[in-house]
Amino acid sequence: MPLMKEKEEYYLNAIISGDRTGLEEIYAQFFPRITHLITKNGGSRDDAQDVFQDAILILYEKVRKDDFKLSSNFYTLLHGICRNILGNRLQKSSFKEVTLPDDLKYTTGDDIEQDIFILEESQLFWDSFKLLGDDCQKLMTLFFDRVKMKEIMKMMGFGSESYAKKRKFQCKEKLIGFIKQDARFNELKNK
Amino acid sequence: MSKQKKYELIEAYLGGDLDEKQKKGFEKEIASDKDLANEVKLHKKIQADIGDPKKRALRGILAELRLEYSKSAIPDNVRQLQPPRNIRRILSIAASVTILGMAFWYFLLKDPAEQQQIADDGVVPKEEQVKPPEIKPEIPVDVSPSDPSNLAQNNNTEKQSPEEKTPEPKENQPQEIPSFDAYAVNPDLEQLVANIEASPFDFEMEAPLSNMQLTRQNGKVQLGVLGTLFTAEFPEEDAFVIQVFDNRPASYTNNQPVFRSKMNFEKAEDEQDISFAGEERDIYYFNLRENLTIELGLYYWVIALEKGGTVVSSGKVLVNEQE
Repeated sequence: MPLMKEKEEYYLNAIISGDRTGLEEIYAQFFPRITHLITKNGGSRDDAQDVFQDAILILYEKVRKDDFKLSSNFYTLLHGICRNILGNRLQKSSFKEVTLPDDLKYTTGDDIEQDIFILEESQLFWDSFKLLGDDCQKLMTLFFDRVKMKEIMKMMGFGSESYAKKRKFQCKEKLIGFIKQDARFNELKNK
Repeated sequence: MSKQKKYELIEAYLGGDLDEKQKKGFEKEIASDKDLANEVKLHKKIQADIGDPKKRALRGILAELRLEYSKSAIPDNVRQLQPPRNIRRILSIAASVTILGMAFWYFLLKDPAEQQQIADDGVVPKEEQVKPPEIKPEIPVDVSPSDPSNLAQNNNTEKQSPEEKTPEPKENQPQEIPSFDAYAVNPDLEQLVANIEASPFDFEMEAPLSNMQLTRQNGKVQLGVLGTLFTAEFPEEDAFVIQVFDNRPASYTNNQPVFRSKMNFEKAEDEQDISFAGEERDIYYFNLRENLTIELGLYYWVIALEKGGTVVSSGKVLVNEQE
């Protein structure tokens, strides 16, 4: 297998398996270029961070699908996704200035609307989850990982299994409450 | 039913913990109660997202990296593209041992003259680090579409000669025009597009992008070739050429592009160099516009060094009629 192909696989695996070293390498290799793309189009360094991280999360969703096939090289794919996210953000006029050439409107084969919808929904869930207290986050994580209630009871130091169930319910209700109270929830519901 | 019981029922259903009878009963309820259906959907999405341990891990690492890269950021108006030095410091600790080992190994394998040069320069030449895709050495200096010894030909050393591919039509025999799907993929060019290898020339295309759709209006298609080249080794003695091929295999193997042009670059003097994992590169912009009179269909563009032949960027575009 050619060296480049191995490298591409390495990057994709780093994303799918949460390999910190690989993700650091992706950052070191490609973040400056994406920053250049974003800042050239009126965005700030913070915008570049947002776009870059969103693109990695979109890639994660893409790569884990069974039918995913890398049809270009890794950077071409990453750059294309960043361009699409950038286009989406420009439409929402969050940047100071639009410098993408108007006469070169393009569409890619990817369903970027769908990608961005999934991303925004995921971001809403995650932001809401981070609003929970540490104990609730820990309890919910154990529950999501399908740890038995009896184990959760012991690990969390609860007095009984029924109390563990009640606490889990309270935490989940809080999480769902945060999600539904967020303005993004209704925006996404109407899409 | 208490809300807690409702949640537990939803979770048991999503977790596959209900027996067949309970499952059917619950599904019947979902079908008749829109609110319940929405509730189940939301629980399912949350479980699939926050409940995905790999995605949680990825988000955690991304949050850390964001912080690290922000900490090291120099204010935008000073030098936006400066790489995070602290990251490099962290990485360098782990990398230094490997690099030293590799350098030593490399040094051992080199002949004495090259060893001396490396010792003098202090670096391993770039072309030794990542071998660019070399095209046949006998590439002509002047490559024209009609020239059979051409770029496309040289992109694939395994190819048959043009004569083998396109036999001369027999005399006095009506030349058949094969019906050809203008949107069919060209396997050779697909291969080329999918296998661009590393080179010292990083082309960041703004247009055309791969899978881009161009529209033909009044018989003309506006082709825009624009973007940025990042390189520490701008080829002063060579030139970059863009060629656009239709999808017919013979067009590529016989090097008959529908468009061919040398590219002009403008060095970004007002900006500082950009760093790629520690390597400083210059920034060059290119912007070429051309109105093409071409048929609808699938096209491929290939950017390569004119003399060196190295293909540095390629992709495909669809040309459709303006609706």
